[in-house]
Amino acid sequence: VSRRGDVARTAGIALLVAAGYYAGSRVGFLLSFSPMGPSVLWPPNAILTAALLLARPERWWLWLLAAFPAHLAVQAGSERPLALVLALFLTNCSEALIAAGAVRRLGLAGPGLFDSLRTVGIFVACAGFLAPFVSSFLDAAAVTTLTGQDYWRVWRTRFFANALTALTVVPPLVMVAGKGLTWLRRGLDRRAVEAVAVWLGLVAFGLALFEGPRAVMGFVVLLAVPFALVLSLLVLAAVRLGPVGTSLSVLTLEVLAIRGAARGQWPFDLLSPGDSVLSLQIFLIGVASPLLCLAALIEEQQRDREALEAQLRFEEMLSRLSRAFVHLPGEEVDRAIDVWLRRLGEHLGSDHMAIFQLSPNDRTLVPTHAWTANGDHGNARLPPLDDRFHESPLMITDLGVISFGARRNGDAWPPPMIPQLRLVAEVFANAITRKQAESALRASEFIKTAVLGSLTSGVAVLDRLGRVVALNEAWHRLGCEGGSNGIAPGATAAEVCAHALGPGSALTAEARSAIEGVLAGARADFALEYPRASAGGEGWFALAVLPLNRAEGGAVVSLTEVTERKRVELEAQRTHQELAHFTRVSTMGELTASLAHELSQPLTGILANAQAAQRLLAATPPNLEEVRASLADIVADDRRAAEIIRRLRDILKKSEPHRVRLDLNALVADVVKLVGSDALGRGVTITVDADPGLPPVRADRVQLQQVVLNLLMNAMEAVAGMPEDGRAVAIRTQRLDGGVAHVSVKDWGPGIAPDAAGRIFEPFYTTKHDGMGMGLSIARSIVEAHGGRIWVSGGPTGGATVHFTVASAGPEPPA
Amino acid sequence: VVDDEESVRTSLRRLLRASRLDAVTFASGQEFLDALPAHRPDCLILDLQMPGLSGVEVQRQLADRCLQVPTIIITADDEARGRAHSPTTVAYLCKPFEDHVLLATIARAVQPAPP
Repeated sequence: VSRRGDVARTAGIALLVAAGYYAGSRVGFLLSFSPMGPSVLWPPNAILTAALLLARPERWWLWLLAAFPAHLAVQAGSERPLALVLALFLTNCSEALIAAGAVRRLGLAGPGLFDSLRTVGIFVACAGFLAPFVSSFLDAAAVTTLTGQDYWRVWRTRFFANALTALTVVPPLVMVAGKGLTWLRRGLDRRAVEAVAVWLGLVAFGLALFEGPRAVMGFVVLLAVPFALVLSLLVLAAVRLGPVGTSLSVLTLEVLAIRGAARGQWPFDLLSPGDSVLSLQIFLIGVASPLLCLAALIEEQQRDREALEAQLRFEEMLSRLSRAFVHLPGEEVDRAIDVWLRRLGEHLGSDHMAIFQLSPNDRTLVPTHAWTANGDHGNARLPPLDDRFHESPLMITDLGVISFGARRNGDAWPPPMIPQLRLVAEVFANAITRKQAESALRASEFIKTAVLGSLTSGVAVLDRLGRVVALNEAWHRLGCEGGSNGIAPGATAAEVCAHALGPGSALTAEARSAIEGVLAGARADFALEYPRASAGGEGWFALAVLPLNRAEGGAVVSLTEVTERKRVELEAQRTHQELAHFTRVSTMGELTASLAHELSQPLTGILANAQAAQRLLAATPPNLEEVRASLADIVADDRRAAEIIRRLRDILKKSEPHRVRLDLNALVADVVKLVGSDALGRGVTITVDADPGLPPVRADRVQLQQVVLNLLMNAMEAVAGMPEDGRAVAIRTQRLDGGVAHVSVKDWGPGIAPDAAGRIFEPFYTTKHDGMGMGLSIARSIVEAHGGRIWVSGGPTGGATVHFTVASAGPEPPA
Repeated sequence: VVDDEESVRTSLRRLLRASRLDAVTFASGQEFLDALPAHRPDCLILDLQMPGLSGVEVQRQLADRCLQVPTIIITADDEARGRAHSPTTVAYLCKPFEDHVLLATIARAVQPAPP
């Protein structure tokens, strides 16, 4: 399609050139003052020159060929010999070729030829002087050879005619044909009234000038008046109407002058036709050349000014663009980019502006922002990037590509503007990058806030100086209600502690110094569980302090309600205590008989002494000495009975665990006494080997008594089946390295089977036919709660030894 | 009186002497048996549960030596009664006991056996 269209277009232009050549020749003949006289103008050459100036050199032969039939048709009516006709065509062509070739040689072409002083100068030199000068020699040579006319006369006639035609006909032709509608739209819209007024004035004063002084509305004025007015209007045209208006004005004046000269009006009536023509030609050349230069100069300056203004406007726009995006919030970036794409597109006269971003997944370019001059704002209307965008500036950034489209007036993007377009691209790219970073940050902040908010524990984040920088919702709920009105970011570590623990709590100071320790890096962490009054009665809370894991330092304080856990723990502890108590009571039940025996001894002594005393008092004389002795024995026996009862009560009482500093040797001795009667009844010998260097321990008396009692009872049962003289149990205390107190209970019983050794500390494991299996399990939990351990040693044949340790209480605290 | 409990020995010796009876105490069965040739008692007050020789063992050794000493067993353990059955046993008294019971039992023990 494109090729066929091209052929048709070429043929049309060729036809136009031929028609122009023919018409131009006819006009040329009309402008001769006499049938065989010289023409003032010879338009065919100008038409050829204009055609060549507008075309690419490889097409020139086409237009020259198209003009040939027109030349033949023009010459058909004349009686000129064929050789002369052909020679004249060649010389006509030579002029056009020389003019267009020289101009083209200097790198110029097209309608812009008349827009600057330099190019107009070149045109005047090449087309207005060089080409007519050279071609006129050829012309004159041909004419002189074939018709015998005077060579120099012919040369002079041809030279001036051709020069005038080149200077006055070529410019309007080239500009009108080349700029065409663009010029009409731009030039006439703006200055149509002015142009029409100038043209009418020119026609009026031109007529006045060339029709003679009689014709001007009954007034007779000096000829200099219309002359001056004509020149003024021409200058005005050059200043106001640009090269096109100027060249058309000159052409108008030319037509009027030739009309006047042809009619033989004054001043041409004073001259011969030849001289008149020459005078006219020189006059018009003299008027046209400087006017063309002046118009070009003014056009050039105006263009430069407009370009500068456009540049300034664009730079101001860039500055506003940069400012607009500097502090723009991320969520407004997209809308602002759309607005600015439109403003820039309209300002720059682009057909579209579009931003394509690299898709992070498949690395393809996806249109994200677009503006098009015809109002299609949807991204979907944009063609794929590689189809249409090959001629528009594409700015490639890290994000993707920004296309500035093509200019609607068909002009190329001026190279100085490219760095500015890059600046625009960078502003957009920066804004989009910032938007993406902000939305990523917002997403991350959102997650953090949501995580903090959904924690059931209260969290307070402290900076390096111990100031609260963040608090979650749960903290406000868990903090102390009374006394403190809640805390907010900016609160101090002391306020955090007061809020968590209650202002009057003794632990507040401890927690505060712990936070300071963590902040200073002096301690790795801190944890505290404490009871505190809360809305639903007393609650238990856990406070934990950990360093904040970031370079600036700081700490995280967490506050968790552990009431339920604590309740379960306390419940378990209570159950355990009750079980322990139950076990103790059971053990004591086994000891009842021996305890009764134990108690019966002092009671026997008391009763016997008391009754002896009665008898001694009844005697005459009463033996008071003996009475006193029996009373003393009664007191001693009573104390002994009370001691037995105390021991019994101690071990049977149900009390909260209470750790005190105690002597483990004394405790062992107490328990041995407690089981002494039982051992006696069973025929078991208990030996005690107490280490006087045993360190004091910090322990609950009843619980440790229970452990020792349990071990002794087990040991006595273990030896029950042995011969009477072999029923021995040894209990020994020892100080181990590191100040640990060690107690061992050894029996010489049958020993423990290997498979049982690993299980005897498990709950409900028993080897006794009536045992519950809780004794050693409870013993183990008591020992472990005291920071010690319990274990069994001894082989299956040589009895067994159960050991346990208790950490030393450390040095005596100052009183 | 043979009893490992000193307070029992002392108080019984005091009570018996206040009742005009001559009483000698021994802290263990072995001590008593060792002194037996010199002191042949009319009545023996014997504790059953003692370290070393028990009351039952003392009675067995007396029987071995064909010595028939009327014996009053005193014990804190009522169940021990069955274990100490001997023809010479006059009575079992459970600690603590009333003085008149003890004295009446002694009186019964030292009575010449009915023909």
